[in-house]
Amino acid sequence: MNNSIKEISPSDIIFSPKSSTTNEEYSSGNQFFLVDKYVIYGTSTSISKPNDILSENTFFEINKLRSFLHLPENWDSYGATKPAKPAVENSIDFIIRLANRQQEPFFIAPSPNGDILVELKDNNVSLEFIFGEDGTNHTIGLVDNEEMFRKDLNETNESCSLKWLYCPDGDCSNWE
Amino acid sequence: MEIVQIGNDDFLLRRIPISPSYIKPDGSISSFAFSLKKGEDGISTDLERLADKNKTVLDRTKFRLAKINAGFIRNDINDGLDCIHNPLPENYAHSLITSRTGKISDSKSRAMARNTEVIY
Repeated sequence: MNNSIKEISPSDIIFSPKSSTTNEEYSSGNQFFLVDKYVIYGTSTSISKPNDILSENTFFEINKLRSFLHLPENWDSYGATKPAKPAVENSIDFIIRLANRQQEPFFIAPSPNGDILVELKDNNVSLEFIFGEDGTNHTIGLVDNEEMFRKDLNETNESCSLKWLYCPDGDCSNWE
Repeated sequence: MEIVQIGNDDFLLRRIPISPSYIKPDGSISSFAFSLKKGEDGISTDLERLADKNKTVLDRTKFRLAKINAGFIRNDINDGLDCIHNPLPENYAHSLITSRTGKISDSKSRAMARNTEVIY
């Protein structure tokens, strides 16, 4: 069997879909499989869980984030700084972690200062993840556009804030 | 150049990028559209009554135009925000949304974004 496993970092993900080959379970075209930091193209008997698949939409969002690296200075015509590589890489990492939870972002945009916003939304509740151009990240929770909290982003705060958005009543059976 | 007074009935125009877009899937505008950049002393706009929308938009494949009421900025958002005419040699309509503190908080940027209408 060909070695179909490639170790990747967010900066060197391949963004053009590759067709799967022989695995019946994942036989529809243009699918990707994710296991931790590994993306597996095509077929592998080691992949068994459906949630190992990155959806087309997730790849679309990752592609969009990658495209931000090609924006010129002043892309907004008001002097915006081009998005910073650490911000893009950290946001791609985050999108992949979201995909592992079967969640997708509502909105993604670069800030005028080179940061990246990844926004999640559930009705009137929003969660903003800001990935800073200097590598510092934070999360902001909003209800009806009013700020409820603002935290530096670490593993605990990421998990807690996602839980706050998706299962505020503590019923996380459909989330985790 | 003559400086005009911006009244509370006046509207200011701001370009909204569409690629990447500051217009969210639900049609609302991102607060980034009204964020101050580092070192900036005001948010650049064009005074609608002095502006030619075709010129203000620069490139319709890249931008839309949104308008916001000056009275709303001064009186509803308040917090030291003001709107002043700041003509440039190449753009007489140029105006600034300024802050007495020199900063515009995220909540003020969100309030401006929420009360903005895409018109062009």
